[in-house]
Amino acid sequence: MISTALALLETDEQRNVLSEFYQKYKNRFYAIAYSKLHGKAAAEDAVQEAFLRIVDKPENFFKIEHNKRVAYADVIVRNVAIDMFNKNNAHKIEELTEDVSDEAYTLGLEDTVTGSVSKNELLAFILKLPVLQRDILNLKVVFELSNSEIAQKLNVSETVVRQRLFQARKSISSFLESGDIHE
Amino acid sequence: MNEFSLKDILGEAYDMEFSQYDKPPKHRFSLKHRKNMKRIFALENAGPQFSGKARLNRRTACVLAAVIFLAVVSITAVAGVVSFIEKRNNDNTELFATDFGGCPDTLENLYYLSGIGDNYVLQESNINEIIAADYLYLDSQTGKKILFEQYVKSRYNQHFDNEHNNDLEYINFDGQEAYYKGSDEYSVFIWDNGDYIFAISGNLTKTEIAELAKTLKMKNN
Repeated sequence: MISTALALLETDEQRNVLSEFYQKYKNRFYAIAYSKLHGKAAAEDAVQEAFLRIVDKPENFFKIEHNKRVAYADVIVRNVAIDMFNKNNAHKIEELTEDVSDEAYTLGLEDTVTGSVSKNELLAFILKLPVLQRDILNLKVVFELSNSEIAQKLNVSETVVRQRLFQARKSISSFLESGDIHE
Repeated sequence: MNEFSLKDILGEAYDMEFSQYDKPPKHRFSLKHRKNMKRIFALENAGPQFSGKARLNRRTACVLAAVIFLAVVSITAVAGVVSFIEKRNNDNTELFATDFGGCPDTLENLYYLSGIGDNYVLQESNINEIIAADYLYLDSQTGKKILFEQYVKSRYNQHFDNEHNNDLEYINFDGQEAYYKGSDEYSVFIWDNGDYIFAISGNLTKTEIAELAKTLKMKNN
């Protein structure tokens, strides 16, 4: 896996930028991973795995504005840590059984949304969404990754990506319409 | 009806959620992790690399460096001249210091090499007060690297590959015991100044690395 990643960072500039980025924020990434895994070795492994995913298709990282790169990495580190925790604890995440097409999902995908709730209420609601849904929303809406790119970064299938996005969107839409939380 | 930018709301949610990690405590990453991260960024394998060489060559270089330590320890253990002990395992040799009575049990004083040229820029440093400090310098023009390490003697403990043999040169280094192994391309220099174990490795000749070691200075002096 590492040797595969080595071949993907082709320029000195990419290597240096990513290396400096890691050096600057490594303690932050470790703290995020540790908060989920509660183990030193596991947290280090999660940070390492997250960077392997980042350097695989590094263009996703480099196209992001500099001030947003740490958020992008945070999201990936957290997801990797959660994934490792779930695997270590044999915890299966239940996904929707229904297949959700890209077309169905993209309905209402616009950045601008309307509702009768206040901004703070919507913010509070989004913070209550399951972490995995929230992170996928971030990768899709904030970092504008495609479903296949998200799937690669989070090591899940595109179907799972679509399902989580659909669930998140559905929850948000329902909340915006009624102000109530619909599971 | 109110209108919201989902992107902005998600940004705010992120800020609220992750602000707790803005000032994280410093973590001393394991050697394994540090090695792997360097490999991910294609920097090197736990030590200065041979510029322009294939990955296998860099590994070989690390093995050679490790064997130097082994040889140093072997000789010193027999001669009883310096405070290193080696413990041979199946596929590696564990090296650690002895005779550290009276030596600091933390990095009370940090050292540096004043003779590192201006062309070298500090690329990475890791300091753990109870174990070690290391500083990796890079000359971006030539790609040459210098790794300088300072260990608490009682915590000095490293594992080295022992599949190769190498000759080793004992040096009386201004009254201090030191060991050198290398070629015109790559050198390792290890010495014990009485308080700490120091090591310099990099793309330096024997003369250059010994001269560099002479520029050791205490930071807070």
